[in-house]
Amino acid sequence: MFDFVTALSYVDQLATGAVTTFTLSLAAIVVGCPLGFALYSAKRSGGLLARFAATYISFFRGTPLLVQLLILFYVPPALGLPVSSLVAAFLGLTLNTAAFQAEIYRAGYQSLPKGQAEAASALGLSRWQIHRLVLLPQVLRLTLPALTNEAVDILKNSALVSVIAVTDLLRVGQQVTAVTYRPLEVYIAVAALYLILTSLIGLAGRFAESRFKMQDAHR
Amino acid sequence: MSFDLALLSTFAPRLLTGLGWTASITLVSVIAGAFWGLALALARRQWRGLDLAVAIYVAIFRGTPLLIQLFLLYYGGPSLGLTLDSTTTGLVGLTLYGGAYFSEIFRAGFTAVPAGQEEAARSLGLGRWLTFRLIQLPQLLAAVIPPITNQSIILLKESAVLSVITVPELTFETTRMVTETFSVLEPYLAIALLYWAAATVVSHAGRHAEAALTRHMSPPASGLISHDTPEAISNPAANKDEPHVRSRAEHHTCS
Amino acid sequence: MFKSLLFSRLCLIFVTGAALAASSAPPARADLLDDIKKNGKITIATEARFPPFEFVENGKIVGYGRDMLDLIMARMPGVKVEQLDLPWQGILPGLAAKKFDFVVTSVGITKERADKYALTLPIADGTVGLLKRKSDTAIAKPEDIAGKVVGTQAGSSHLKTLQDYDAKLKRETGKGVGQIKEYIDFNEAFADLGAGRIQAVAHSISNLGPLIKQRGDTFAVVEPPFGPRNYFSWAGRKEPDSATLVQFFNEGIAELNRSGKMKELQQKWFGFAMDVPADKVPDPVM
Repeated sequence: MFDFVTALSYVDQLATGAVTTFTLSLAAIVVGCPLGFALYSAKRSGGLLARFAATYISFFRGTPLLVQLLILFYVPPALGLPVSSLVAAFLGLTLNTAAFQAEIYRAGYQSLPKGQAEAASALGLSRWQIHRLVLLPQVLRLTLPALTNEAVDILKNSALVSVIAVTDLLRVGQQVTAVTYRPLEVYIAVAALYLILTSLIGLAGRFAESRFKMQDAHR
Repeated sequence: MSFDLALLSTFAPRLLTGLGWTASITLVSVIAGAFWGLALALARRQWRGLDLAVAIYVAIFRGTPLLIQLFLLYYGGPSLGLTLDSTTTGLVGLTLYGGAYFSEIFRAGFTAVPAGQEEAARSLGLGRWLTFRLIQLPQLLAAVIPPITNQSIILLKESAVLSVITVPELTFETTRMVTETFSVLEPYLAIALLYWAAATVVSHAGRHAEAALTRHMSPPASGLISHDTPEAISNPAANKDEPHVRSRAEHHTCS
Repeated sequence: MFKSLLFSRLCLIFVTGAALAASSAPPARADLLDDIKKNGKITIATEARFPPFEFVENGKIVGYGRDMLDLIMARMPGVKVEQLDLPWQGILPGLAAKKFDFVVTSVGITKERADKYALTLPIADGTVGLLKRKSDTAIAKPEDIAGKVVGTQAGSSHLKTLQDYDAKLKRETGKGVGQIKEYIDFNEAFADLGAGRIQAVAHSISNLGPLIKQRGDTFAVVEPPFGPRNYFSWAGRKEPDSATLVQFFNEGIAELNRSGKMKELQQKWFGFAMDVPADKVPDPVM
């Protein structure tokens, strides 16, 4: 009844799709990081900029990524902006994760005791030094588990980019079922590949956490 | 491409019907998913043997896209003798998926109540049930309501994926509108607005529930009751020396 | 506060919409074909899950449509083809939104489409028939789908054909199709037919023939086709700047048709040749 041999004979194609999925998600997570910090800073700054940041974050967290991707793909040409599928997909995932990362960083900074900054300031450190030497390392360490989860979510959510003509892992799976008529076997293979990718991210996150802990122990 | 409001008013009834489906599906799957998640979390606590099994379940359902899970359930299920209609598949799929996240929320929530409290209550002569009902449950609820709200918003948004298995929810209706009108701008902006509004409603409902549940608790217990106050972050679920920052699933407000 | 929040969002959306509408005047573009030649690239949209017209093999889009495209593009040397694969539902709206230059995927001719898009000369027969499970003896002729659940693709000409047929059945016998289920693509409808959730799939007989060759053990075609004789075209935009590009494809299709190359490709991909008008785009039959 099961015919995994058929599905496995397409493993090259599936692997190519997996590479697209992984690269795209990784790029979005990495670029989304400074954007998230910028959004968090903007939201703290007060005034018009803060209102913009708050609305931005609310919009990107309150609407489905699918809809965000569709808007980014179809609307720019109406404004005379040529945006390719891959660019629209990258933009969509990046703008989306930036909103989520901004909230993660906010939570991270809020969890630091106020006294630390005050103490550092009393020791004569400049604002930038306080941030770089005292706060940032702690925030990165505190937010690491949340960031790992966010990376996993982005990788999973990237399965939606096929609707805007990016041939990612899911789309390859669909293309293969169109030829083999074997949805069950092919989708099990696709699910397994997603699971491998998300597990890799989870492992990387845990590895980074343990490195942080070792640094702490050495101090 | 130009913006055509008349188009929206023509399709408004269908979009609103779709929104009704989306709302009902979200509501049912949140309730069912929360119970399923609670059951998983309890099973994990009661029987050590189940711990690994539940952990694997959670890893699989959180580690693969919902879309693939639905495809497998809907198109793969029949070859295993499981033929559910599309709406049932959608509800079961969202429940199983959400349950994995909810179980983690409850697992963290259980650790929110220090064991010493139970011992103290028992030594004061309270029975097991009363201890749970009066001491543990209120604190557990206070701890889990914010992440449950966040997860509900995520399920609301993820329910858009049900459109691929022909469930006539909001995204499905919008896709039909796009293919019938050949326009993209109006339908997609309208649907973004509708989801955004729905997410805002869920977010506010969550806050109301939270306020109602924690009214009697003073001072705010360990700072986990509010999303926006600066103390809101420390998560008692984590180790005491290891403050923990909520992730997408655990921390999601929509203000 | 809640209401005011919602209201401000509403304003935001509509202001954005209005701004988009205001700025969406067609860009000053003289001629799309000239631009394509100048840039050395044409962007084409395809739903590559529609065998044997267009599907993916070894990571490449292949099929009847792709072969025709290659032969026609040989007349425009130096231009690279960028062929995007996306769900059918995004293809015609995306063409209108200028996401692609041209659509090379099987577009059934309908009145709405002919009004809105520049459809090319037909490339193949697109008459719609029914697919059923081989073991299902309850459906012997098209009328037997009364009261049954029938699936087809969302937003397709097949859907329109099925809806028209449903209306006709209701008119003539008082009993129409039980329910019409709309799928993102046909492969999902086939899977659901196999699973038994639906009793038939409305699809063009050109696709069904090759499908039966592969899956004749499971599925069978219900004779005769229930839809009116119809054709598949490719599509461009109606705006004047697209006229020369559509003309270019029309000339290419006509040439392939007259030279007999089209029939040759039909033999290769479908296993039979079709009668396809070479001189003009047929009037829409629905």
